[in-house]
Amino acid sequence: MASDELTLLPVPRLSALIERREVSPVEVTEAYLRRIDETEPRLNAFITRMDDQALASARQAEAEVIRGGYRGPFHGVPVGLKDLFRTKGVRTTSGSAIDREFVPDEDSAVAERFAAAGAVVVGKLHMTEMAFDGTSLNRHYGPARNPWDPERMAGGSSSGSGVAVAARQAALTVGTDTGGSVRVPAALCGVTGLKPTFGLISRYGATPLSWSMDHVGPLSRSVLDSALALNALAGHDSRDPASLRVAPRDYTNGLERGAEGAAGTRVGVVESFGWDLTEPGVRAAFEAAMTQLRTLGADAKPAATPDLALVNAAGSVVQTAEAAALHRERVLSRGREMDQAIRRRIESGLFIPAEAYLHAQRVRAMLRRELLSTLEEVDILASPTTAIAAPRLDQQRVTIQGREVHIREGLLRITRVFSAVGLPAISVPCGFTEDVLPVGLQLVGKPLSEPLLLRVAHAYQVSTEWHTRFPDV
Amino acid sequence: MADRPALTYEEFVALAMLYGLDMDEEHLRELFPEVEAMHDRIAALEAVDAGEVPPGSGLSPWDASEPQ
Repeated sequence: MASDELTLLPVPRLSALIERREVSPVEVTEAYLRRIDETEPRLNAFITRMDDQALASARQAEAEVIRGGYRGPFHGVPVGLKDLFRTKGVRTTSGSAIDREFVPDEDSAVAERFAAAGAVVVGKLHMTEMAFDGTSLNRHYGPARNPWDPERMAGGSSSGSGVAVAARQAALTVGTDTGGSVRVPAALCGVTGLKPTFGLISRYGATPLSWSMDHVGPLSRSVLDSALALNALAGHDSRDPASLRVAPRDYTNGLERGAEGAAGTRVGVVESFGWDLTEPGVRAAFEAAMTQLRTLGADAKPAATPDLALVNAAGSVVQTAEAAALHRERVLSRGREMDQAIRRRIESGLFIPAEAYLHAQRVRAMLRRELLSTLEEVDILASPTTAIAAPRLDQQRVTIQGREVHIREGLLRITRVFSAVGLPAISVPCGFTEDVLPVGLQLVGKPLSEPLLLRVAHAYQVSTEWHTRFPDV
Repeated sequence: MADRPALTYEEFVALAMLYGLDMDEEHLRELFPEVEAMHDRIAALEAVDAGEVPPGSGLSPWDASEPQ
């Protein structure tokens, strides 16, 4: 099989070839490394490449498969990690110049689990500094560029994780999501991004931003690939205080229903939060997606939700206070070495009184209960993932239907709500704007409802072709 | 609930010194609007009666009563 064809294959097909010994993990890894060589100068998805380690892992996987020791769907499959997951012996910068030379002496839980699955890590991926920005800008490592238009942002903070999947530099990547940092780059790059229920994947060894809002999740070519990643990554970890004790399950179960998997699902369309602040091209793609879900037998109708702007405000106060608590020493002693916008964002948290933080937590808990009440009336909620498509790299503000807002608002205002309340959410490609920029459809479920969420997203995906399109890069 | 008074620039500078921030004038001028915006969010939340939520809960998105 030609090198370029290997990088087009979804995880299940690639792993089937490896299991049957029709393709070697070394061959696959070399194909991906060539692809990175070709595309990286235009995209900047990686902070640190790991070619030598990747080839060593691939050779080990090859030997194991030949000996009959095939481990499963990620054995010998090239993956990428956001550069805040600690990797033993490989620098982990968290997108910061301060940590440019930081080399951990142990792996994060995500790196451990991928190692146990036999995956081949090809590199540490671009991110915005300390994961505190929804753009793909980074003053220390340069911007990550959107494969659909390299003059545009890839979204953040897991910027390289979105770019690498879209540009076929890795078969699958992992990011973190505190306000939308998996789903936003997934939407802007035209790939699938899953933020599981809070605590489902261990955060041990991942640089924290907000301990009560940080989530770990995969970015992938398809919902099926995301389900396979969840199988590999989910599970209790006593080293993460928020880690859930959930019995192991196969998250691919139910996906065999294909396009029939959405039939009978009650889909609540989030309407109370900002059609006036949504780009017309994004809205049109979203409405077409709702039509498609109805065609598949889902009952999609408007849903009454609590005041989502308040959820956002509570999430912002909580996230910023926690970020300030975590990174106070960094901003006070080495703030001048940071991106100044991110420095200020963290420092603003030092001015949040303790009682205001605690009140925000109570408001957040109350609004979460109200959202769960909404999810008694419907099975899942649906919205666009972002209100805008990928902004230009030099763009700071955007005018939507006559109203000018900062691009952060356009990128994060919808996703941030569901990070604040810890509900599982997935973004799948649902179309393109007139400028041929991808648009994401966000589906949100009850806690631990990933099987339903994945089944409905998969039904939508197999009945459309948006996820099968690749940028010409 | 009593309204939270707006933070003046002078009060902000005094707090910044207390908290050990870099007192560079340009930095403080750029930081102040961020702090004001945060205080606006705090003020918006103060208008919400969260009395139904027991103190001490809500420190994570999980309610202890929910199945895990």
